[in-house]
Formats: sequence, structure tokens, C-alpha cells
Amino acid sequence: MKRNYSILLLISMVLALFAVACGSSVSSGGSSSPAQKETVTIWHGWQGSYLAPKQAIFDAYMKLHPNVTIKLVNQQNLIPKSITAVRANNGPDIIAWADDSLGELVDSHTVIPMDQYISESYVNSTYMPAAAKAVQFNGQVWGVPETVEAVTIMYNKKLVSADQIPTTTDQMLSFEKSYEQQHPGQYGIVWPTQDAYYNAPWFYGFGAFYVKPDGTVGLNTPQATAAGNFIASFRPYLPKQLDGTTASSLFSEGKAAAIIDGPWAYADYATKAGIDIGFATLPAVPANNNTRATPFVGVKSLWVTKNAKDPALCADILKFYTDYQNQLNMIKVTGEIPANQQALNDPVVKSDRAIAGFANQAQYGTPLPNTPYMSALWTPVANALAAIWTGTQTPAAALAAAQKAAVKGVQGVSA
Amino acid sequence: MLQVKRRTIFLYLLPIIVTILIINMTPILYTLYLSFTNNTEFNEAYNFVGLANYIHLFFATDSDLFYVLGLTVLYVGICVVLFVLLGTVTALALNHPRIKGTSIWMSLLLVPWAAPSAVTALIWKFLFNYDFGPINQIGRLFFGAHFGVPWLTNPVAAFAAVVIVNVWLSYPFFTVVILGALQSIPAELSEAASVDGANGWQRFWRLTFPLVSPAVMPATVLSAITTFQMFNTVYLITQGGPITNPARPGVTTFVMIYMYNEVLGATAANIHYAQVAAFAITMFVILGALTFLARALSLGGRAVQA
Repeated sequence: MKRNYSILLLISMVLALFAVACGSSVSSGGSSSPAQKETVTIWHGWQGSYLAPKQAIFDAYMKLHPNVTIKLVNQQNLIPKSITAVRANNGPDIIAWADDSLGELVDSHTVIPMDQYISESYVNSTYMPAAAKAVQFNGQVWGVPETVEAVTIMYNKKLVSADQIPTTTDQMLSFEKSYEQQHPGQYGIVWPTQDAYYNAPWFYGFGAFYVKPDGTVGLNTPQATAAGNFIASFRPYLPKQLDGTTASSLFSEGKAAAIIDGPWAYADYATKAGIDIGFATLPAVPANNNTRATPFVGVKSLWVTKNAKDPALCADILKFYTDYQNQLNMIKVTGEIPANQQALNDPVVKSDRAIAGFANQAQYGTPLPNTPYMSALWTPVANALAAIWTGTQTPAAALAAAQKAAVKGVQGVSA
Repeated sequence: MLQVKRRTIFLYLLPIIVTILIINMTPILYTLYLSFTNNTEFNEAYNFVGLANYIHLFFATDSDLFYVLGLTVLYVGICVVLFVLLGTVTALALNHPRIKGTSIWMSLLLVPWAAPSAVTALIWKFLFNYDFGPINQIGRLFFGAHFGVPWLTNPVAAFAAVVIVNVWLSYPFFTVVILGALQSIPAELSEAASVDGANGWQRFWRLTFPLVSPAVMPATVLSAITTFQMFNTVYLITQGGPITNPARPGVTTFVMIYMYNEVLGATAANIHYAQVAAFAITMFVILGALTFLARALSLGGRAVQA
């Protein structure tokens, strides 16, 4: 008899637990509270000293609007993760990344058009022309541009002087060689040699291309092979495992004289590592009529996803984030080129050495392709560069295999 | 005598049954459903395509299934043999009557097994670095400045590297299991065999081995299954690389790493959710069969012991 009571008691306790759980979820999820607390989640790739001034703008917004909480989440592999998470209704409200992903995000129905909240005329009048164009796709506005960026050479003034920085690719090779021989255990110019983005300057500088808007892949051309051979020629003078992290730490520790890197890293080098940084443009390519090495010019943008609970609020946050005063305060720390036209015209920008350095390089760049086909190129190019850098394949063979993989990928996109 | 009604038992089990149905079965059934559709990154619809994804997986010339599966089986084979070998050697050593302080040795051996594998994997990744890793640095002291094993960039060396790490992490488990089995063998048996004139080698093969193997067999199969599903340790060290051919996955791309890379990894592009789902279901069937085998073997083992 006693046992039976305890069973009843247990069951009633379990039921009570369930009731409590259900009750609490209803009360927290309900919008009956007058305060209307809202949380906006932003997934981004900002890191280190670069993040702080950006975080400060969102903190200021939260202070002005006490009911709004903005959560910044740094994500690795941001784009595939966002696409998969948004489809499962588990994604962020806002994604912040470079404009090359816009085509992919639009075609995979991850982001939503924002014309209703951010008009075309607003975008065109607020931001510089190239940046305004970068957030428009298929005739609609999808978000706001934040900054314009390209990789350039940053050198450590304590280790090398401006006249030592090579101006042609041939000089660059001999510089790497002589620097490595004169300073054992140290390196000349470092960059992630197996990354498709960081090596685009060589491919485009040698006259090759990754993919055209019509889906033509250009990895098996003689120009691409020339670029591959050029990259491979640095193998004896640089570390065998040279990824972004290694390159950054070598430069930060003074073990590399110069680095090819973008504005996202500048703040860390200048403030955290305390390096006196000089700027130089990427070298010219004598093999291609002295064309300048051509980096991708990306427009860092923020888009609103299908999962956003309150797109109007998101639009308001985005406008606030990219307004004149906030952008001006931010770029003073990050050294980025602002997309906001008024901020770009400010005398502070004109006199800032870092911004001038990146702007100087950007004029020799090519816009990041924002066709969805580009999503099929990053991996094959990176894989080819890995095979080239480890020496398992010749540049020609690696790029031919990458061409095959990329063509297959492009077909997958259009299918 | 307490009588419990069948219904009462069911009532008790209901919460866990519902939880299992929701948490375990829903994703499995969804994946199964997904594998019969053509859902991709650019196609949000779930159009039924029958067995097309499976046919592509098994028969397409550019399918990665057999390459990845072959790598995984090779990895499992090498790892498990080394687990048992090293586990047996250490257990026999610890079981020797002249070894003092067995408990200290045991705790020392268990450190790698008990430490979080994510942390140790990252430490190993640093140890293996070609340019700055301690292993190659020490090698340079002895063999000159140009010495260096390309641990993570050469396909064979990288495969060896992830085998070394996994063996280092897991063989202590076998030491424990085998030592337990050894200690359950009465010392009189061994003494009797000695009296009958059996040497050490004969005693091991005729006496120890048959008595220990029923206990070791299930552990081996279970460990083969976990190694088959190995993800974090290998992924943190190689991400599935090194790439030797841009048209093919890297040589340490085992099944779980392959699926991750295809959907969420840095190399994810053109995500074909449906094809990856078909791949996952195929792995599910293979692992299901292996688990079944493990169960049968452990039941068989018990029959032998009894």
C-alpha cells in the first residue's frame, strides 16, 4: 500500500515538473510583457583589437534602447554555418561578412531583401558608390556596407626600410631569399600561401581569373599556371606550414619583416604588438607587362537573415552602425576605409596613414566576384594551393585538378 | 510480494521513451527522408528523387564514398591492432609480480585517456608543426638544420601522426581491461602449468590468451566503432588534410570529418544536404551492423566464460 502511494507521488511530481517547464516557456516566449525586450544576434568574423571599436557601437545602441540586447557571436566557417542554421530556423538575425557571399546567400534564400526598410536612394546617397553597389543584387537592397578592404603589404619599420620593399615580383623573390639567408629563422614577406583570397593578387596580377559571372572557370590557363609557379617558387624561403595564424604570429613577434594582410589585422599589429608599421603596395608583375598584383577589393557588409524576428529593428541597428559619427570613431582605431561617404570625406580619414595605405592598394584591386559561382571556387583553389605548397603536385597538375572540381561545383550551383 | 502492473511499468518508462523518440528518432528519420530528396544549398524544396543520391554515392565515378570509407577502415584497422598490442604488453608488464606500485603506474597510464582529447589534440598539433614544432626542433639538434619530418603536410606522415595520437590516447583503456582480465586468472593455473613444464611463451598462448580474449573482444569491437566515428582528435590536428589532389578529400578525411567538411567545414561549398544525408545513412547502416556484431560477440563471450 505504501509503495503505491510513493508511485503516485512520483508520477505527480513528474507531471508537476512538466507543467512547470511548459509554464515557464510560455511566459518567457510570450510577448505580453509591455517592456518588449528584444534580442538581436549578429554572427561575424571580427577578432582581436579589431572587434572592440565595433562592439562599442552596438553597446552605444543598447544604451540608447535599453530594451534591445545585441549579441555578437564570432563564428568560424561563417557562411556555411549560417546557411545551414538559418534553414533550420536556428540562425542569427544579422550576418556580417564580405560581399562575395551575397550571391550565395541570396540564392540559398538565407538573407531577405531590405528595400522596405533601407531604400535604394538611402543606400546610394549614404555610402560610396562601389560599396553601395555591393549590397545590391538582382535589383534589390540586401543590407548595408560597412567598410572597403583589400590586402596590402605592411612592413615592420624596425626591420626593413621603405626602399627595401620589392616593387616587382622578381625583386620579391630575391628579397625573400636574401632576407631568409641573412636572418636565419626569420622570414621576409609572409602571407597565408594556401588561401584563395590572399593569393588572388598573384592570379589576377598574372592575368588569370577564378570565375566569371557566366560561370567560366579560369584555373587551367597558362596565366594561372604562371601564378602557381610564382607562389611555388617561395617554398624554399618560407615556412612549410604557413597559414594565417602562423603568418600573423611571425609578423607580430618580429620574425617576419613584412606581411600581406588586411585592415582586420592592422589594429592588432599596431596596438597589441606595438609594431611601427609602414605601408607598401603589392609588387608589379613583369611577366604580365608590369601589371600590378591585383588583390580582391571586398566590401564588408551586414545582411538580415530570414530568421530575423524584427527586420525593422535590424535595419535601424544597421543604419545606426554605419552612420557618419560611429564609422568615424571606429576607423580611427581599425584603419579601415569607411563605406560611409561622409566619413570617407572627413579630413581625419585623409590624414590617416593606415587608411591611406589601404586606399592606395585598393585602387589596384578588382572587385570581389559576388556571383554565387564564387562559392564553388574557394575550396578547389585553396586545395590546389595546398597541393602546390606541400609539393605533392606541380602547379599545373594541381590547378588542372582544381579546374575539374570547380567546374563540377559551378554545375552544382546552376543545377 | 509486490505486484507491479505492466501499465505502471510503461508509465514509468514513458518520459524516457518520449524523450528518446523526440531527441533520437526525429533527426534520424529526418535524415532518412532528406536522403531521398534533392535538397541542396540552392534548392530549398524537398523534391522526391528516389534512390538517386544512393546511386550517385555508390556508382558515380567522382563519388568519394569508397575512398573515404577505405581510409577510415585502414585507420580503424591500424589503430585497433596497436591498441590491443600495446595494451597487452603494458598489462602483462604491470601484472608481473615483481612490479611494485601498480596503482601509480595505472594512474600515470590513464592520464592521456582521461585528459580532454580536444586539448591534447591541439598540443599534438603544435608538437607536429614542421617549422616550429618541438619534435622537429629536437630532431634538428641531432640531424642538422635541414632535418624535418613533414608531419602534417606529407600524406603518409600525416596519417601516421593521427594514428600515433589516437593510439596514445586510447591504449591505456586496453591496459585497464586486459589487466583486469589477467588479475581474474587464478595464479594456481599458471603455477600448475609451470610445474607441468610449460615455458612463458606457452603459458601465454595456451593459458592467458584464451582466458583473456573473451573480455577483450567486446572492448575491441566497441573501440573499433568509436575509432570509425573518430572526429574531434583528427579534425583538430589535420582538418582532414593534407590535400594531395584538389579533386579528392585529404588523406585523413575519415567519414565523420568528411560529412562535417561537406556541410559545415571551411571547405563546405555547394552544400548538397541530400547527398550528405545519403552518406550518413550508409554509415548508419554500417555502424549498426558493427554494433550488432559487437553485441553478438559479447554474448558469445559470456557463453564461453560460463
